[in-house]
Order: sequence, then C-alpha cells, then structure tokens
Amino acid sequence: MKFIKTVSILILFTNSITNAQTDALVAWEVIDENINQDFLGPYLDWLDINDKLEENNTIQGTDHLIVSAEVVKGELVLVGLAAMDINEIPNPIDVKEANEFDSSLVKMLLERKYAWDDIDMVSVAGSLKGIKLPQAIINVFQERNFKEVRDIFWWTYRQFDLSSDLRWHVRQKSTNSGFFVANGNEEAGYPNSLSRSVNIGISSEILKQYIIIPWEPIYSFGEHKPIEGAWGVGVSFDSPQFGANVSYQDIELDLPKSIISDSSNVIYPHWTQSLYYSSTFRIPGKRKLVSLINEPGVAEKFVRSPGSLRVKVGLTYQKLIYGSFQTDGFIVYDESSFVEGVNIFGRMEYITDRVGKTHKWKIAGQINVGLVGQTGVSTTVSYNMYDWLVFKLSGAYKAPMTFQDADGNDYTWKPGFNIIPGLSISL
Amino acid sequence: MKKIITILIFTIFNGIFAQFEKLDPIKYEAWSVEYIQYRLLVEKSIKDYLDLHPNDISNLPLFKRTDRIIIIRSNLNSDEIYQIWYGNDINYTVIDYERVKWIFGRTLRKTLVEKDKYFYSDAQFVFEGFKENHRGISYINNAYKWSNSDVFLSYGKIVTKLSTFSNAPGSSDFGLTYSLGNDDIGLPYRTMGNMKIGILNKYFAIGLRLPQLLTSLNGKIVEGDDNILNGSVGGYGAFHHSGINTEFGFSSLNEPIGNDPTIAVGDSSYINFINVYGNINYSIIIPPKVINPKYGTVILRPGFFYYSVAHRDIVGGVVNDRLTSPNGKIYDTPESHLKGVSLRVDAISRINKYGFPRFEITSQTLGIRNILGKLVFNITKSIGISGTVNYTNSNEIEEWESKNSVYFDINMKFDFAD
Repeated sequence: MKFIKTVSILILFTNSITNAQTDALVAWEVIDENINQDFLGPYLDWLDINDKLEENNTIQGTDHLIVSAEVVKGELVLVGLAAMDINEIPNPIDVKEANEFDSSLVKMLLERKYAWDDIDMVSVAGSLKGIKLPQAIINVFQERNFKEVRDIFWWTYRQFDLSSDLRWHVRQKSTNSGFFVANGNEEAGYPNSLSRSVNIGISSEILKQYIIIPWEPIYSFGEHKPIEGAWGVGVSFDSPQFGANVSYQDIELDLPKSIISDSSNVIYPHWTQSLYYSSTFRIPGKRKLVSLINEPGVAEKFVRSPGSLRVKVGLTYQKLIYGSFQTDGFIVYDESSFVEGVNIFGRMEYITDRVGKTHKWKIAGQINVGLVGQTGVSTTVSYNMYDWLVFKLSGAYKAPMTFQDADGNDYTWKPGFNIIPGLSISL
Repeated sequence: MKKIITILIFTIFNGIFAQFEKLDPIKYEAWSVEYIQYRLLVEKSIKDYLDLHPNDISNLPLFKRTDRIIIIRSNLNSDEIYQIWYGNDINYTVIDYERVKWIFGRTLRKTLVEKDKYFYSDAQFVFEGFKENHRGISYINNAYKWSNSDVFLSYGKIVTKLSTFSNAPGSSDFGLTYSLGNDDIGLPYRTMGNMKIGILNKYFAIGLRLPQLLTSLNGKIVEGDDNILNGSVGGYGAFHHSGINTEFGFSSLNEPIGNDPTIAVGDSSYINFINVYGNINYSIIIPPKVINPKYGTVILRPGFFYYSVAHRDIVGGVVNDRLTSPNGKIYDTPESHLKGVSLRVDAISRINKYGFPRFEITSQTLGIRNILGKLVFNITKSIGISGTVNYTNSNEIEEWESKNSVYFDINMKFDFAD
C-alpha cells in the first residue's frame, strides 16, 4: 500500500513537472496592419449581423489586436484576445465569440507569421484584466529600462556627461568605448571630495581600466579630511548580475606627490577590492484620473513616474596605510587589519523612466558597514532641469578610524562629511 | 551503392551549407550579442516561437545557453535586422529577414539592431566563410583564461561555471576559479607561493591571492629546489577583451587570515614574495593561409610583464625589509623588480569530431631569462595529462627562483546537459 502511495505521488509529481515544462503561454501585439484589418473588418461585420455591435462599440477596425495563446496538452489554443485603440486602451474580445466567428482567422492569428511586438506590461497589462497573460520573467521593455539605469550610473546613457564635481564620461558610439574621469572611490565609501584621488581611464560596456592620480578636489562644502591619493592603477567590471573592482595605489612611487594635504599624517588606500551582486527591479508609477482642459472627459496621468531600481550588495576590502613623509621617504606607522578593512556595502540606484531623451530623476544611495570602523553613507540626487542640463546634490559621511603613530599613540583620523552641489551637462 | 552514398553525402553537405550565403562585408555589418539580458530575450523569443510552431524544431533547434547570437545588418537598411544566426563555432542556424519578423517582436528587433547601445563583440568570421579555424581560436582563448567545459579540474587550476550549481539565467556566463601560480610571469604551480581564488567570466576575473594550501609539488625542481617563493595575502584582477589580455595582482604579509605555513611567525630569515605583478599581451591569430586549420590553430601573444619580489625577514614577530640575500648579495632596495617583453605561443591540433584537440602546446619566453613550455595530451574529451617545463636562462639564479623544473598534471573536464 505504502509502495503504491509512493509511486502515485512520484507519478503525480513527474506529471506536474512535465506539464509545467510543456505547457506555455505566449502573448503579443499584432502590428501588421493588414492582419489587424483582415481580422477586425470581418469581425465587426459579424458582430453587426449578430446584433452584438452595440455592446462592442469600443472596437474599431483600425485597432491593434492583442493575442494570448496557450499550449495545452500539445495543442495551441487562443486564451485571450483584445483590440487596442490608438490611446493604448485595450478592449477585450470574447474568445468564445472569436472562435465562433471564424476559426480559420483565429488559426492565422495564432500562427503568428506576421509582424508583431511584445506587450509593454507596465503600460498595458493593467488594463488587460480578465485576459490571461504570461507572467514573463523577462520582458524587452523592462530590460531596456534596466539597461538604462545601469548605463547611467556605470558610465552614461548619452554621448557626453560632464559634471562640475568631476564625473566626466564621453561615450564614443562608433567604437562603443569611452573616456572617463571620476573623483574618489565610490564602492569603498570615499566618493567625490572624501578622496584626494581621481581615476582617469577608458570605459566600455563592461570594463573600466584606469590610472589613479593624486588630486585636489575642485570644491566641496563640509568638514572633512579626505583620504590621500597616490598613483596607481585599477580595473572595474560590471554586468547586470555581478560587478567587481580592484585597484592598487603606491604612495612611494617616484611621481609628483606635492598635493599631500598633511605629510606628517598620511592615510591612503594601498589596495582596494570589491565584489557585488546586483539585481534590478521595476518601480511602478502611480496614475491618477485628471480632467482635460480642452477636451471632454478624463485622462490618466502619472502622479509618480514609473522607474527602475538597481540594488547592489557586496563586500569591499580596503587596506589603509598610515604613515608620514620623512627626509628618507615614506615611513609606515600602522595599517588597517583585515577585519578593519572589510566593509559590507549596499547601494541603490534609481531612475525614472525616460521621457524623450531625459530621465527626470536619478537618485543613488549607499551605506558601508565596517566590521570595525570604516562605516559610511553617501547619496546623490540629480534632477534634469532641461534635456541637457542636470542639477545634482551629493553628500557623504565616513566615520572616524584610529591608527597608532610612531610612538604607539593613537591617531584618530576623521574623514568627516561633505556636501557638493553641482551642474552636469548631458548631450 | 558507392554512388548513392556519394550523392547522399553531397546532398547533405549541400543542404547544410546552402543556408550560409556568402555575405559581402561592404554591404553588411555583423556582430555578436554579448549583453546577457538581451541574449536571454533572444532565447525566450525562439522558445516562444517553437511553442507556437513545434513542428519547426528541425529548422529551428532549441537555443543553448552557450550559443552565440550573431546579428547581421544590411548597410542599405540599417534600421532592420537582415539575419540572425545562433549556434556554436561550427553549427549556426540562420534566421532570414522574413522569419526574423515572425520570431522576434518589433521592440526586440529595434533593440538588437542598435548595437552601439549594448555590449557586443565583432563577428567578422561571417564574411570570411565558414572556417574551422574559429573553433580552434575559441578553444584556445577559453582554455587560456576561461573554460571550455562546465567544470575544469586539475592540480593547478579549477574552473566551475555557476550553471553547475544553478539554472538561473546567465549562470553559464560566470564561474568560480582556483589556480596555483601564474604561467604568464614564468612562475607555474607552487613556485609563485600563491593560489588565486576568485570569480570570473569570459572577459574578467577578480579574486584573492592567498598562500597556497597544497604544499606538495606536482613535479621536480631539478636545480634550486629550495628557491620557492613564499605566500602572501592580496588580490588580483584580470580582463580579456578585443584580443587584449591583462592581469595584475598585489599582496602583503601580516594578514591574520593565514600567512604562508612555511613562514615561521616568530622568526623567519629569508622571506620572498611577489608583492606586485602585472602582464599584458595582445593576441595575434596566425591566419589559415599560413597554418591550415586541418592541422591546427596557433595564436601568438606578444606583450610585457612585470613583477616585484619583496625581500623580508621576521624578527620577534615584526616584519622587516631585508637588503641581503642568503648568499651575501646586497640589494639596492628591499624589492627586486623584473620586467620585460614576453612572447607566448598557444597552439592546438585540429579539433576532432568529438569536439576536442588531441594536443595543446604552450611555449613562452620572458625576455631571454625565462622559458616555459607546456604540453597537454587529451586522451578523451574529459581527461588529459600535461607536462610543464620551466627554465631560467641565467647563471646567476636569484634566491627565489629555480633553474630547471618540471611538473605533471591531470586535466579533467565535465559538461552537463544544457
């Protein structure tokens, strides 16, 4: 009995898996005008003949069809049909009636041997209640938006992005590579003027290779003693799932170092490494019915724009060196231990959907939590005033850290906080 | 009977190659979609189309996660896709202009045709005809810094693609890696003192450098057998793109997560470790006109290398810089720097019908000081044996380097169903 029960459960389980794998639900919008007219023209005539036109008076011959088809036990069946008007408002068509009307035309629709498009689930799916639609994990409209949030914070979505706080990106379309300049080390929690270094290098869709140069921040407000910059090199990688960065700096490299702010108390990052996992989410907008001024009736308007949110969670390790410049060179007093150097960081990057060429709002926030010290927060908010002009406000804070000097006394380094307003030109 | 077989073979071959129309590079542009999410959208579209047309499976095989996707755009109509190819290095399915419209939605077509907005790589081979050489090139490049299998297992290197553990989209594009030593700077296996553990994909690698756990030597150091570098703790990063391969790493002592077990924590006299290294090279593919792909494929990689050996000692638990060697040599600085030009040659024999080359050969010279040679004999697709010879061409052997050494390894490769 027990054996039969086990076998039955196994069969049921296997059957359910097999069914789940073979059955499929596919939906699309017909964009071939001839196909739409070939179906809707005769269908409207059929409704008229059967005295059903009045109850379906929202359907027009110029509408686009939305088709939803499912494979049920190896057979393709129509499970949803709608006619979408020019304002992208879909009007459901009864599937049973459509089959009754002309099964050969339904077959033609299901074969999909014509031009079609994916359904933008965000703008249309909400109005398609009652129509069976696939819960697509991946959708082209969504992925395009997700790509944009990644591009904007990784390099730029435009061709030129030149910001007054020294974040410059020039993206060359012909080679799909670019040139960039960026102040500070964002992932380690020393963005903008919290670091006296600038990265200059070549960027591409997935990689950045750069040299690190000591640098005096152009301007910033706040009370801070930035981490010193030293000459070095770095590589960053980013993909939709994973990202990483590795950089090396050496203050003893025989290159100009005249911009050290305090040569008797020098703290610089000898090497930095970070690795993160990332995922991007859709943030739906909020719609509201508004009255139209020059036209009768109401229309829907976004009171909160939809957008895309990318979340990164990762680990950073930074080996900090504390020392001073003496007549015989740089003397190391102390360095951060492994535990002091490790940070867990979380970062969110948000943009509102693009309207024309512009993403109205861009917001980033980051928190670094050190196991011992090195805790910090940072944020940037950008607002597109015009297509080409962006106002941005950035701020960051990093908690103090204690080192031992040459005599074994404590030296507390206070990176502090900064606030940087800026303007950015995007072309 | 013979005649019938000949006609049959001719017909089959004709059928296979008929779909590959000769494309003119002046009229068309071709590239390979590398952005993972767009690859997944292509995969989903093909799957959806096959759900609607299950009988088309013979013309339109299921998309495999490791397949390449080639977009071909006509310069006369740059807004539309002319053809989409998908497949591996020898078998591509070509979707022509009309069927592209049936299989892929308008927005996806528009997205894919705008190549300047996503990650792609060149696919010039579609204009050069269909050559076996491309398969060899992919094999060599994957073996160099990525992997040709889901799991590659040897004493000196392990690569496991994430698809081994997960079916998540994109998991076959990333992997975990462990490796001993670094051939590129002439320090194979244990001689470098470090192991690397990290995450990688076809284009990048990043991770930690740690003292190696395996203390046994998979070979014999013929001369200078005590001269092995010590381990240290640090990081490394590498990238490989557009024929350029580069890697750099750094490390230091005194990390609590584990110094080299060969170093005595209290007192240790002669410690040498690589505190910084880097190398860069560029891949030059020997054209099929020079070496017929029927015999094999060869890639030359001229480049530069640099590494710095830090000389230290530990007295009473404190790490100090050191300026003298055990044989009394006085160093100018506590780090010795080695740099110069490098030339690496990677060659494989023809990839056989089972999908692997019988032989893989690597030879490398760093300036004229270090010469490294490696031969892999693949017994089957899954198992092979290798031998590595490392030779320092100098009468003055430094305290950290061996004169002659030889190493042996077993390579195992596993592939799991797509």
